Amino acid sequence: MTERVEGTTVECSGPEDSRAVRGQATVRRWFQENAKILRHDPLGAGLLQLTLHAPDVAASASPGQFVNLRVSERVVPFLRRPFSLAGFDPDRGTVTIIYQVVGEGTKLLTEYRPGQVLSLLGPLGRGFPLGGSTALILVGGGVGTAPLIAVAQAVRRTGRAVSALIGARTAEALIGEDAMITAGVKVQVCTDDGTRGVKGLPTDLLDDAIRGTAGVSPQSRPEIFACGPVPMLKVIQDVARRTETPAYISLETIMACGVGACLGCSCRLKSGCVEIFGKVCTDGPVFNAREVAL
Amino acid sequence: MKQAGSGSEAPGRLQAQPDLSVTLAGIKMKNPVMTASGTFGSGREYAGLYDISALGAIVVKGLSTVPWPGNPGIRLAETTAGLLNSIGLQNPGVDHFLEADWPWLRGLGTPVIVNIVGKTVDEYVEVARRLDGSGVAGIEVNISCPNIKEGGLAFGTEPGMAGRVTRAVRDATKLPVIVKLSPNVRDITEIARAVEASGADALSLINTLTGMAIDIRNRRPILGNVIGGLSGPAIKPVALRMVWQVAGAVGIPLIGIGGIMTWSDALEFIMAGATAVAVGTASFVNPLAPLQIIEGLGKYLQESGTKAVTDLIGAARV
Repeated sequence: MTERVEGTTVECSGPEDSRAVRGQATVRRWFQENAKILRHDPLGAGLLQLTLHAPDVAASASPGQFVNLRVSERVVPFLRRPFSLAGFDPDRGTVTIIYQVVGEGTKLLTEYRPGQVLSLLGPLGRGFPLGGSTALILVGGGVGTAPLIAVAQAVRRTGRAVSALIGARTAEALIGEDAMITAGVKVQVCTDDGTRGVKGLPTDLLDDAIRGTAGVSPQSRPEIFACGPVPMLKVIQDVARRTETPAYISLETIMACGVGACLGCSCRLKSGCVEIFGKVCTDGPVFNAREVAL
Repeated sequence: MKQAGSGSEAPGRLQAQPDLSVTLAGIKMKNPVMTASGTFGSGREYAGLYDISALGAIVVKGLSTVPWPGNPGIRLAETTAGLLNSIGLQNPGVDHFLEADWPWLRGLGTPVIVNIVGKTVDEYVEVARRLDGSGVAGIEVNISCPNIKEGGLAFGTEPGMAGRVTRAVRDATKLPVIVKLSPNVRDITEIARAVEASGADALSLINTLTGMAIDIRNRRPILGNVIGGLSGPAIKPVALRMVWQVAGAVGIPLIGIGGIMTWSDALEFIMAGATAVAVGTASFVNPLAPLQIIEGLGKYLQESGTKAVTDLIGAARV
């Protein structure tokens, strides 16, 4: 790899399944759909859930992927906004996102009503690797829990043992608990302020969760899938490294195209002994925790 | 069913398929709509959505002699009706392009123009040499790159430097040479004339306008590089003014770039004097914009009784 970030030195610790690539080798199919809003409901604490009719996206999506939504028909706000899929139903042709109001774009999004149409690009990015059969531990922080709901629903049919550690600032801000329980997941909730569940961060419970699910051999090691604030993902990286547990994290960043053309969503990745810039939108948003330099 | 007579039929009267084709720097294009370098990756990204061979030409992102990593930190900031970027010209290098991307692109059947970047004149020449004879339709020289031998001043900011790099590339290849002008200059017509005199076959303008944004919460510039390039609808009036001025200053054909979102935007540039247009940032917001622009131009020609899009080049200038 010679596209090296200048001035960086890094241990030779990149994983064999490093997903850093320079450009795309194949053409990845995606769609633009004018998606009718079916439901748009506030969840509390500035969070909303939006379900749209987007059959092409729903039919080809996998958990961990995202959609790039146009929030204005005009040129202000200008760019689309990316949101992880919290769920998708190929039979009904629907996709669901859960989002937080953080700025101009998401504020405008709250004004759309069922029956109105939003332009959606998707499904985009690389999702979580679902081929494993060992115990799966989901760790979600805040609105980051959204894509983990889609994971829970997808692995439900496989009979894989799934547990989840979900955290939020306060009880009202917790998402996905019911959906995960319905999907057969063993859920523990945490809140920063102690208004529900354990007072503290979901990562406080992670070591116990790993111990509780780990088997005797490396092949029976659990896997961690995590999504949430960067400080939380850093803890995931530390715990995963210390306990030698495979972990995958979903990143978010400001994006323009969302499909790998503009190179605006770069993140630092370790590739063998060097660091390179990867694209969150196409190399990710899901990465092996060992390959991301947060 | 061709109709005899002049092109000025009564509006609304249907006629044979209007002619959208243009030829620029010897490159034949089925329509005047191209992609802007840096916004279309290597083509594969948007090929996942639509048949990109419908485009008049594809301009792929700037390539250098060796891979360039691009800028660290935040590379994007949204602005009112626009986008600031400081990607830093990240690219895998011309050799990787020729090996991994070109075989796929050449099979598309639409002209592929390669944008080239460099830190010195020699680097531009080297990239041009490696592309010579490859089968690409042409080279677009990005002269907004800083010249490290002149204290980092961009090649395109001074007529002498702009002329020198143009002449060097011209002498290094038989391919059509299009030079992409920087708008961050005192007088773009000066640069345009120097580049024309140095052998450019066509000019494309404009590249991005320099700008910045500050995050008032953490009291820091948003972009890692502090200063970036502004694109999108916000810059269209400036881009159009520059195309107008350059069209009056040179004889070689122009490609108009800058905030084109719709077919009527494209028409403005054509009427100002551009032979073709490039669509850039619009693709991020509306990926089908290039196709809609092609369709819209065709409809306009039909409804206005215009036989060919070339009839409209400079139509606002008479």
